[in-house]
Amino acid sequence: MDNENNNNKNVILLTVIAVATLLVAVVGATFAYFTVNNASGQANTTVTAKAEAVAAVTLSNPTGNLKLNVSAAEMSEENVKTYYAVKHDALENNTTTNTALPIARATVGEGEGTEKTQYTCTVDLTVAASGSMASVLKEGEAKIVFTGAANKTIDLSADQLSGNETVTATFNLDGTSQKTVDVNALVSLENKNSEQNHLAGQTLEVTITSGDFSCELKQ
Amino acid sequence: MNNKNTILLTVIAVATLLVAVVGATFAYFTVSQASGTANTTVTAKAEAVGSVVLDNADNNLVLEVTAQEMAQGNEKKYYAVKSGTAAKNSTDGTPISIAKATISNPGESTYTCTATFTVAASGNMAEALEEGDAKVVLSGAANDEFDLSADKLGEKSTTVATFELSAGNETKDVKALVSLENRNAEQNELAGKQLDVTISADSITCSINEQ
Repeated sequence: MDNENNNNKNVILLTVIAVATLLVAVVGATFAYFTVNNASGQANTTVTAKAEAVAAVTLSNPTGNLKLNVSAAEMSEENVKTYYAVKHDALENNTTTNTALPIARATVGEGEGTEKTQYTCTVDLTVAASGSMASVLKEGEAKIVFTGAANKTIDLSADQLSGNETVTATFNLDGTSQKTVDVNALVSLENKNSEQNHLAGQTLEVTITSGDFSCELKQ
Repeated sequence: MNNKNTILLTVIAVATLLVAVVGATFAYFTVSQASGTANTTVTAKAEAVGSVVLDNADNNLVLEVTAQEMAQGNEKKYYAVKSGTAAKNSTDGTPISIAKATISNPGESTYTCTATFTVAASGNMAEALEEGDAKVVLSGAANDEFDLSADKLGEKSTTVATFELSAGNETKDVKALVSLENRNAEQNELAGKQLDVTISADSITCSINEQ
């Protein structure tokens, strides 16, 4: 009797479990089915890529050649001054005003969409001196001071120049507020308070030559 | 689930391709669009300094007077003439160039040159001269007067000549008028005597005028 009762309980329990399990399975299966059935729709995305324009950057000399001619009177004993080069087509032969002149200019070209692009450009400028004055110049008598995109002072005496000297110019440019950057040069000849007859009647030719001009986008 | 994975991978792949293409394009643009040159020649020239020479204009002078010319009543001044001329004196007071400064290659500058001239007298007439008998008047680059009597010449015998030289004014002179005067007073002490006068400048120095 007891065994039979126990068995019945077991049967009931198992049935309950079985039914519960079946119910859960059916419900779970139904959820699963519903879940799969309710996954629908679409997700379309458009990606628009645009490459910012890169403008052309050019290097030029906005001033042209320079001259620095001094008269015998300007180099006389009482006239202790420094004389600076002027544009080659200026009316005067020199000036006593120390205003540097732009001799190399990097310019960002025009172009739609170039406004935000930033550039780092470089060029090597090589300075050489020749002429009858070159070999007799003494230290401190003539020099070039570079400012702006290049910063260097070069003494033009033979001892100091030793053939030629190079200065590297670095231009930081962009398409909006910094479209133009210059290298400026101040070329000078000084009437020192000492006898300088070795310069009388002599000529000096100084060349500033640009090497390869290259630009990279600024990191 | 697999569809979701497929969609995600496709998005990543497309983005990667886009970045690679754009990056390569940037690199190409960077290399190709930097150009131009900036070359400058500076020509400097220092004007030559001119050279100045001072010399005698080859004009030695002579002044000879005769007894007749020094006779009473013949009140005149007799002036020296260039040596080698037929006349030994003159009565018209024309100064004669006795020193010349010449500049070469002045360029555009003006030069101021100075030289000190010294007057000296010798010979057996030198001590016999009285004040007013004989004198030298310099003009041109020098302006001064010298009495050739011993006493007066001892007081003053030098003067400075100043020459302003430039292009177009390359030569400047010092002129002299040497005179002996018949002063209508007895001057027998001069008769038969000789006077040697030298007017000399040893050197000339120049400076360049500030423009």
